[in-house]
Amino acid sequence: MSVRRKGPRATIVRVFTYLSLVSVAVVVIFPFVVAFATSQKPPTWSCSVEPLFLKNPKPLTPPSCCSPMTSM
Amino acid sequence: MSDTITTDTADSADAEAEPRNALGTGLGRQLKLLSLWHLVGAAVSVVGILLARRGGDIELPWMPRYALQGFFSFAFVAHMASAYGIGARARWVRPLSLAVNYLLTLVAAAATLHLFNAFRALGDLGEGLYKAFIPFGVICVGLLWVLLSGQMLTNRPTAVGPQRLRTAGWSVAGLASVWFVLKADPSGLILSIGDSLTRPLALGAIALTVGAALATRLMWSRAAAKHFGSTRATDEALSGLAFLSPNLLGFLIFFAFPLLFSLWVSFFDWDTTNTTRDFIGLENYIRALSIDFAHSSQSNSGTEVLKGGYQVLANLDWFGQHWVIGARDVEFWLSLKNIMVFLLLAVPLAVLPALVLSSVLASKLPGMKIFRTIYFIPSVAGVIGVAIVWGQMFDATIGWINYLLDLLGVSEAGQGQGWLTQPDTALLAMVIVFAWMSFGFNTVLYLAGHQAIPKELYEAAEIDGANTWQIFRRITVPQLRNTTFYVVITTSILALQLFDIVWILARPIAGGPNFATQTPVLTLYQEAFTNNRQGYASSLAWVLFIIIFSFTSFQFRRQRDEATSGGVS
Amino acid sequence: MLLPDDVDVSDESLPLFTFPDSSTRFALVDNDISVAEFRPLDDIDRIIRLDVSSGDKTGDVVTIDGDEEDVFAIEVDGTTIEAYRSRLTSGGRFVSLDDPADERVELVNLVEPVQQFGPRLENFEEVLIDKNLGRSLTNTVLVTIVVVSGQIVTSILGGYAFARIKFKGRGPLFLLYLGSVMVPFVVLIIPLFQLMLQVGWLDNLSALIIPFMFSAYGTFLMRQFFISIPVEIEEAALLDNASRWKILWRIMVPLARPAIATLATFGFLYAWNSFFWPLVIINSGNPDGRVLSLALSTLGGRSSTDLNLVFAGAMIAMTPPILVFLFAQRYFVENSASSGLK
Repeated sequence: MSVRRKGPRATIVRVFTYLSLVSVAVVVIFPFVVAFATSQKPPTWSCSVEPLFLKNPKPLTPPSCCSPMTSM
Repeated sequence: MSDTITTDTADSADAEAEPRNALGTGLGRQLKLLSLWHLVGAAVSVVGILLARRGGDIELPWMPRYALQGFFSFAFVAHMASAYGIGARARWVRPLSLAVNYLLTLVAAAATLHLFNAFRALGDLGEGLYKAFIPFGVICVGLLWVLLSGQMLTNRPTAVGPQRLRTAGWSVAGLASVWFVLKADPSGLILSIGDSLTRPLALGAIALTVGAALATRLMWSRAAAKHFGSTRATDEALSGLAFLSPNLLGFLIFFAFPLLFSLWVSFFDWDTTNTTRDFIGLENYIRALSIDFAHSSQSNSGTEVLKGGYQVLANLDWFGQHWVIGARDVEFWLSLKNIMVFLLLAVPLAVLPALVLSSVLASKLPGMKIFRTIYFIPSVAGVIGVAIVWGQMFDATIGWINYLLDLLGVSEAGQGQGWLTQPDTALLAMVIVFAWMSFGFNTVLYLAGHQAIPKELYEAAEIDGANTWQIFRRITVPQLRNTTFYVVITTSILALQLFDIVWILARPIAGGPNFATQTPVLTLYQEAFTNNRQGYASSLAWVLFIIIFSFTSFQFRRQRDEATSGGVS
Repeated sequence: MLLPDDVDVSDESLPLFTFPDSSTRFALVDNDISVAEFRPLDDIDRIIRLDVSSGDKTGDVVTIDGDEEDVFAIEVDGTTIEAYRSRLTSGGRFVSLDDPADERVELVNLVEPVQQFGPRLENFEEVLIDKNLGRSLTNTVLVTIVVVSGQIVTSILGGYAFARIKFKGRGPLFLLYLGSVMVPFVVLIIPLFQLMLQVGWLDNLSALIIPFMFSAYGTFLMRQFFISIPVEIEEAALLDNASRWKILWRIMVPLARPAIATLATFGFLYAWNSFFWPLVIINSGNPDGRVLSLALSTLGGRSSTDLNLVFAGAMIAMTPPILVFLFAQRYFVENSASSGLK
């Protein structure tokens, strides 16, 4: 398609193209990242929403699943 | 059927003219033995028929019983005819004798394996593999070396390095095999084989296997072929059938027979354990498809306005009139409705992104292969693992989707949407997972379609000054019409058989909240294996089969009509 | 206050926290204890949380917002101060990892959980051994190996026969094979189940292996490939009096390596990921007969409290097919392509 055009407009189009491709790729990869990150958690934190590489997890209300209490 | 010769050209016959006599007298004796074998075989067939009827120690279930009786009846006739035909030197005897002996070899071998509990022992093999998983891994590594060195040796046959690698690979694999056997501890297996060896039936089966195999080999030989005046075409056909036979037998036993049997069962009231088996004609189909409309004066009428045995499927209000739709099998109709909704949502969602993405990926920008690879991953990762991950994503309290929605401020924290527990969204969640899994595969299919589009079309369009959207709309989409057709069909066929995703995501009730994710295959599974109504479930399977088939053929016809009535050829 | 004897602070399963005032990590050794909130009389906006048993009544009474409160003498950082008890609540007891004598009582939601990220192979070990997923893994490996090799052998033989050897009924038979691809597997489930029931293979790996060693699709694939090989190669060998068998294995199969690789990868994915058929066959309470997909579905359904284990299991199930795909990508893409152009 019209990829061989040059000029600032073509650059913007190209950046936009890559951005959309990357965002789709993120949607595709994301569940696998979640699966991997969760599989690396200690048992007591496996139910916090965030994978462990994210800081400052949001406290969950209500902690229906495994709050740190239930496992003790 | 080993490396004996299957062709019989005139040249080779002349070349072997000299030892012919010696072979001939040997052959004569062997053929006498073969006649004798056929007579023995006929007697064994009679015993086989009787044994199958009595079932030996235990009563055989009807399927293997009928199969064995049928086979041995055929074998009896074939053996008798062969015994006569060998003496008469008839032309037809060689194929017949080969067929009966070959089949007898297979049947007797299967019986031997069965009597030695070899099929059940496959489970023990899994146990052994578990105990000896590390040696098994080492064996695999060794064989991988061998494979690698083989690859290298095809390029440089005399290289020393690969040869050493190959030796090392074989020795590693060999040593690990010993380790494997020690770890896996097959003593139980050996003991049970020893046990079986004392049983006369097992010994008989072994003898029959060996005898039939030897007879097959003798009849297969070139000398026998010459003796019975086999033509080259017959030889060719025989070897063709021999090559095809393992495949064909599997095809017949595990595809053709079940297909017909499924149709047969669907006319019966048939439960899992075969205690009930009544022919009821089309009753199963009538029950599955029965539907009743009733006009009612007040809204929200129930079963009272419907015929007996019908339950309410839906209440409709049309122009102030109230209608009640009832069905005898509400679950099935609901599942049909669900799957149609699913189809309408999931197929566009799995196909349209693929169409757009493939148009981008087909351009020669750098890095496109990486994206193609990434997009393909969900369709190979395995539906169970994927569904389990998505189950966490959709969770109401700890799910990522609600978390991200909270971050975006779409919904309030802690007020999470129960995606999988609400009837309105449960099916939508399945649609998302399905589309996520299949769009990458469809993208690759589209990429193949792109390769077939003539580059001149694009060049001409660019000269005309068409913009990207116009090119996509006027060239890419029409040119990809055949691919689109194929992609839509395959995706629809997959979507109509939706089961695994629902099974995992809609826990604990697979039908989901308020039957919102009841699918036809799920209904079929529940009828067959929870309610034990296998006859009825088979009729559902055939209804589903016909829906899938008509669906594809309808679209196929439309496509063909469009193609013949002009347009892009 | 001393720790209960059975608590080992170095136990890794204890959740770790940090307090806002220091970076020292504390282990939550006891949670859901009764906590008393004290407010010093000289600074009633400050809250000091202590175990409910700490503090002694001095006997004095102080009036706060119209209510009379008992005055307690509590010890904070080695000094005794007077305070009143504003409320009782529940919280956790924390012990410093660096100094086991440093013990604090705090509400659990006021402390910061420590994020531990790093390889945690224990999860995999636990799910493979304790949850018996290892046994299912070996079953899947066994089934996959046998099914794939069986499919390769039968498809090579059948594909060669369809491609090269003339015999009566070859055309119609091949059409039948082609048509069989259109029949959805659900139609075959019940009769195949009946067959397995009667042969006695229910709950047995044989039922997962033997019916799937034959592949109409694989036969078709191999036939297409063999047809594309020039006939001249074979004819020369036939004139040299080589048998069909030798020609197939010595000449055709080495040439057909790409097609075999395609067949193997597709067969691998199919066998590894299959779920519906194992669910039907191995579902009468024989955990040792389960394959990975089945065990994973049971594990994921039992409870969501062990999500780390469930996801470790999911990683074990998903990684091999993804790796196979990444290595054998070429064959995949080429083959999807050829079927798309059909």
